[in-house]
Amino acid sequence: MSGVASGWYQLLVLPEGIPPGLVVAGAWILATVMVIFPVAAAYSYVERKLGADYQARVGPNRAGPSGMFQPIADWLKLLQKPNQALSWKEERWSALQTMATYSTAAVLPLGPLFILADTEMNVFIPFWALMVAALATLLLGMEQSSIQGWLGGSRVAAQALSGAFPATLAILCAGLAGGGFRWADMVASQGAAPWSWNVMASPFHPFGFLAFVGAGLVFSADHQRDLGGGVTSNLYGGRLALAQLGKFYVLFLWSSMATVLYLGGWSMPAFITEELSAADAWIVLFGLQAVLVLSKTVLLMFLIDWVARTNPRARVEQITELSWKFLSPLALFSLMGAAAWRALT
Amino acid sequence: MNFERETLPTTPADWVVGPYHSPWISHFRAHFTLDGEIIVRAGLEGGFLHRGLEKALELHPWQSSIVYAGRVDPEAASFAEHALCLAVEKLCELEVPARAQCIRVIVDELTRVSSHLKYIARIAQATSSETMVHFALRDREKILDLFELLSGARFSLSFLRFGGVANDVTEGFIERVVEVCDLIRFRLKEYNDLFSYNQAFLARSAYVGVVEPGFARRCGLTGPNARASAIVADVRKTSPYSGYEQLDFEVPLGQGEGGAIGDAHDRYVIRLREITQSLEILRQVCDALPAGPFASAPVERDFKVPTGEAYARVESARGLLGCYAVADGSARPTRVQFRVPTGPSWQLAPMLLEGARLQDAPTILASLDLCVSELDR
Repeated sequence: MSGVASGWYQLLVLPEGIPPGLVVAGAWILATVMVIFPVAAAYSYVERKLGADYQARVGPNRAGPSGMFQPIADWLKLLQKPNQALSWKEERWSALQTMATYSTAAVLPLGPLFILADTEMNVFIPFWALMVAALATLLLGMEQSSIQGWLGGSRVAAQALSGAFPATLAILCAGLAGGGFRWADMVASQGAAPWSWNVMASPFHPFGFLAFVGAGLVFSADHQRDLGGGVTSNLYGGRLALAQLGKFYVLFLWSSMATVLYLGGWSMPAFITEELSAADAWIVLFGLQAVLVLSKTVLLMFLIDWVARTNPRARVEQITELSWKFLSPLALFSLMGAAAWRALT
Repeated sequence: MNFERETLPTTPADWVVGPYHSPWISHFRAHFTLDGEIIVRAGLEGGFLHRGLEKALELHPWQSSIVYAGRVDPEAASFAEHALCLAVEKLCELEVPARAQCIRVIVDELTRVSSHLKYIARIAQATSSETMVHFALRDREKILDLFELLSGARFSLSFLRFGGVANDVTEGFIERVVEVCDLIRFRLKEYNDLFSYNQAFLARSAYVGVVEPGFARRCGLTGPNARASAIVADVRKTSPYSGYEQLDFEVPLGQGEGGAIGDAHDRYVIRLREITQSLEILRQVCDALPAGPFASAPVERDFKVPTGEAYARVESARGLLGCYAVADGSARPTRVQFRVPTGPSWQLAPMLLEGARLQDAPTILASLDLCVSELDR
């Protein structure tokens, strides 16, 4: 499976002489336009409707039947926004932040169809990229010469640092059950049924899952509504939209990672995989796998969103404290326990 | 609070926030000096909502003064109207019929519940609990509907008159009040389940902005803010007016159940309990609304007040609201001055902010229930 995943584009019948890089880039753009945008639009609509329901509101109800065209209206409005000119220093860090965040798309674990780079360290790549993005946010905040930027950048960096430790431990904990840090290996070690997922691999793995999801919240928690406003308070128009999209993307990325690390990823019942493989229907198989992993990811995101919407937001030092003093010991406990469990059974 | 862990000193930075800033409850400017996340110096600058109301009162007939009094705090208009009416009634020695007094109490208590619900929404906003904001505002709408049914207006009712009220209660109003009271009583439990004792909210509000009882007394704090610091101060009990002496209700005091006595959480919880007491008062008044006229006599444009001066006070949603009225026998007031409960809270706020975390500033300011409108007037 992993061999197919790394060179899936070889399945396409293309004229000679087209460089593979171009094919990959083209396919990615096509997938983004055809799959990611519609999924993101549908997600944002359902999320807003559900959020409104939690809060005794109506939610989007003006654009189209039951407000269904609201994402399109938002998108059209966004296109009319003027582009914000930044100084070249800010531009530098803003570009680094954007590139670091979205470079993770190459290893987005949405099934073999979407993985562009398949390496032994795939699980860690998004994680490192987010650390780089946090560093870029810190530097961008420093460059903004404002209290909001300065505080916002420092907070993002502090959160990323504190979230990194439990996240690493939780990844290692999942790796113990998975036997490797390639996405495909991680999924191959899990079955389609919930009891064969990594989260059920030992009595300690559920704690690792909790620590991983918690670390994701630490990474992506924002303070937009607090006094400071953070780095985004100096941004407007397209830049602001990009920054907010980045926050959504990080949550999406983290949820998809949690899904693959602990919730079975794109594992399907063996008979379906065998039947489709035997029939050489790879595209159908990959498509189904992507739908499966996307569904799990989106469900996890809704769950996180529900908790976030109905609870007050913690202060930054409470978030980092939670990460250092609760999530880190929890992740360490789960790792040590899982290792002992593996050695003894 | 323990700030000794903040051992990394930074260069103090000045930050001026406002007068228009979304986390602020109203229009004012805050001057902060920050050491990292800690506020080392704070100052509040008001005056952005000054409308010259007290001067305007001197320029218009007594008949119009009710409308201007209502604008002292448009969201809780009835209290200033009530204080002015009491002062003028003292000067004129006007008798207020029992039914009118009961209607005034109903309007006051509904306003108190409405104001406290807005307070809950504000403190929920300050701690980014979006759901709670919508829940509180949803229930407040029910009370605004009642105001509309009674007076035709949702804010700035201008419903009170010297010697009574503008109109009798509309048909079905009392029944609707009882229904809304039952609904809100039920919803309070929902608030407690969702928000009041939520660990995340406790972590944001307990031990935050603590006002010691002695300090509260020295600052002249009144109303729920004083009661949260365990000071018994309620004009409805200490110098009753409009028949409050005949009603059976309690004055809840802060117990520091989330953290310390007089912290932001106590100030929140006190308001929840006061809503319960207001609902109890409303039930008693609705059950025994006497028959009779709703005003002693209609107030005409040439209404004159005999020479003299009078001071009257009421318990507003924020504390003691006093009105000092001076008349020279003409059709216009010589001087009308209000003593607003936000004054002491406003003076106190910078002291609470100093030493606090910057992220707690919205919570502290929201918990004090500052009304810039009545302060600037």
